[in-house]
Amino acid sequence: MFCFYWRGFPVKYKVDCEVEYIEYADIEMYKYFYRLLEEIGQDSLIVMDSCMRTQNRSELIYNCAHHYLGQTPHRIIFEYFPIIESKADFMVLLDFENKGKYKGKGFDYVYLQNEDIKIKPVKVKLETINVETTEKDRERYEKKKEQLFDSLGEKDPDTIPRNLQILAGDIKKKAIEPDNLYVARNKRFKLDNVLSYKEITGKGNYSVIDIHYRRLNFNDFLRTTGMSKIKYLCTTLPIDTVIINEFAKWKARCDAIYAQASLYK
Amino acid sequence: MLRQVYINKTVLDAARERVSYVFDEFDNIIVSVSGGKDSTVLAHLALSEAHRRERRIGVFFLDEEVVYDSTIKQIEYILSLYPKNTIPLWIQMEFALTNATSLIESQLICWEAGKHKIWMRPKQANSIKFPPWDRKKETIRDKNKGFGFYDALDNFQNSRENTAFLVGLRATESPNRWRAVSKNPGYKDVFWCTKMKHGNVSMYPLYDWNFHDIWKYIYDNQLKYSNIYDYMYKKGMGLQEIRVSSLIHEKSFKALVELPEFEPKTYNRLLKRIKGISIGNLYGKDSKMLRVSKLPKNFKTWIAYRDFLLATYPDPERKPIFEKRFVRHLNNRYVARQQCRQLVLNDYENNLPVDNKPDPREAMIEKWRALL
Repeated sequence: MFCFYWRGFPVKYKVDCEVEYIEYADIEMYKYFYRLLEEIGQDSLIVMDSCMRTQNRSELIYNCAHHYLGQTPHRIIFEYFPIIESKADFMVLLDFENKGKYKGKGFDYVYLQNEDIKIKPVKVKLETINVETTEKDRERYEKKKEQLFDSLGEKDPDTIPRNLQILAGDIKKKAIEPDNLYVARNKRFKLDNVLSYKEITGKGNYSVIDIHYRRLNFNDFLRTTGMSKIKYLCTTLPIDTVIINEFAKWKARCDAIYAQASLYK
Repeated sequence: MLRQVYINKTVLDAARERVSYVFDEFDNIIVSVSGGKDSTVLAHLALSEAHRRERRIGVFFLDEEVVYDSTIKQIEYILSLYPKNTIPLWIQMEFALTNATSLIESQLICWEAGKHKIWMRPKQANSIKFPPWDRKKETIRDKNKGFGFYDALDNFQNSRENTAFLVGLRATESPNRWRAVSKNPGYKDVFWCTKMKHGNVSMYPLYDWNFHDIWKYIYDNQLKYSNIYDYMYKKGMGLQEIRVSSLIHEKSFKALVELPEFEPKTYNRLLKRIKGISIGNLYGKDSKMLRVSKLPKNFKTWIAYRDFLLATYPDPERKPIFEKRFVRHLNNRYVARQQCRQLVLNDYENNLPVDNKPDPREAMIEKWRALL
């Protein structure tokens, strides 16, 4: 039995046979690749656990995994959320199951029924905690926004909302309560009860100041903490409206998949 | 994505029927081969039919000189399959190839006279070493660019009459190209072909095959195939991505990155043959160098980088080609990046055409402006 897992979520299975655990990043390494191609055979079982780490279905590391998976009919694919960001991400998991069958095909809900897929829905609810803004805060926001657009140059336009979220986060500082735990993009608040995403390694209940701009990292945070209710410090600034809308769209995509898949009981 | 509709017939049966139809309709048949998997399968199908009918068909290979050794071995293998039914048309003559890895030696004249000591390998004993067409009627697509690969191909085809050229084109590999060539019937009511001059027709009997159909045929018939596929497979590349190509032009220079690992002797000979090879080897997949996907730090914009590259372009004969072409383009970041790629890769032939449209990044900026 071979188990491929991601370092953020190490696993240990209680099974009678010998298990080799291989970290996701090592899948494409030569030292593993050639050896595993020789060792994985028809009677091997491959478990892919939390290996959907990029949305690019053609990523070299996925291709390496497909080579291993193609050598045995015994495969189990585990993933916490069915997608990273878009529905198309689900095809990464189906490619693990059978690369050739879904080559070049886009997502279709019918696959959820055609394949042996069981889903245990992870329901997440977002609640907002309103943070008042002053005229001065709004002026500061507008000024920063204009400055970001003016100095964009060759930078990625997506850096604009990221930077505005940092500014909005600063405005939320006054709403931070000493008895609660919070998560923010970085350590800029210099408060013991405000942690960065990297620092959180276990279960807990955190109020969110900045939602991580990479969906995958935010999903990891939800899994690590086991939170089912997100309390988001929210201003009336447009950036927070954008963030809440984007989260609601992501949640709707997950819910649509949960609604049409067979449930794990 | 091209939608495929399955009918109650295998692609192999359909291809055999098509090949049989070509033999019924044409006295002269030539299979074009490149040493890749598709043309190997096509040549085997056509030669098997020729053998069954006791006929002879041409097997055409336009030798670019700078190719993998494995490609040459594969061509020799194809020619040895049914020698009594094969007319070898292995062309080893001078023509120009773009060298995407060097601006100093921007062209390779393959099989150039006087340079036989540094040729990649000696010419084949049974090859055609001079143009097999009337030189007075020779055509050239663009005199500024010189006599190139496609000119050699055009002239060879034009030198024949009422001939079926079988080509291993597959629709799934290039849906756009397939749409372009199959819009109208090229011969009688046949859509899987293209009409050419002098009654010639280019025909694609494998047009509906997928890559796994090709590999299945190779396996079932125990055919040999180029070692390059095995090397690439071992590197972890996807079955659909691995391909045998030339080594130096603007679409294939990336092959130089792995060449020393796959075929060290070929790489060694190539280093001596033409300039820029080690650049291609080191930077073929570098985003700031030959991939031209990231802006080098010493330029603030793609437009500034494009202007710099154009101003310092070292070949005075080719520079006007780019200047004339770029005048017709939009002047935005998106277009400028593609122009930079053409300049860095020395694509004077416009084989990497510029998608001349407004910058999609502008739409993204507008979106954020409206939302934020």
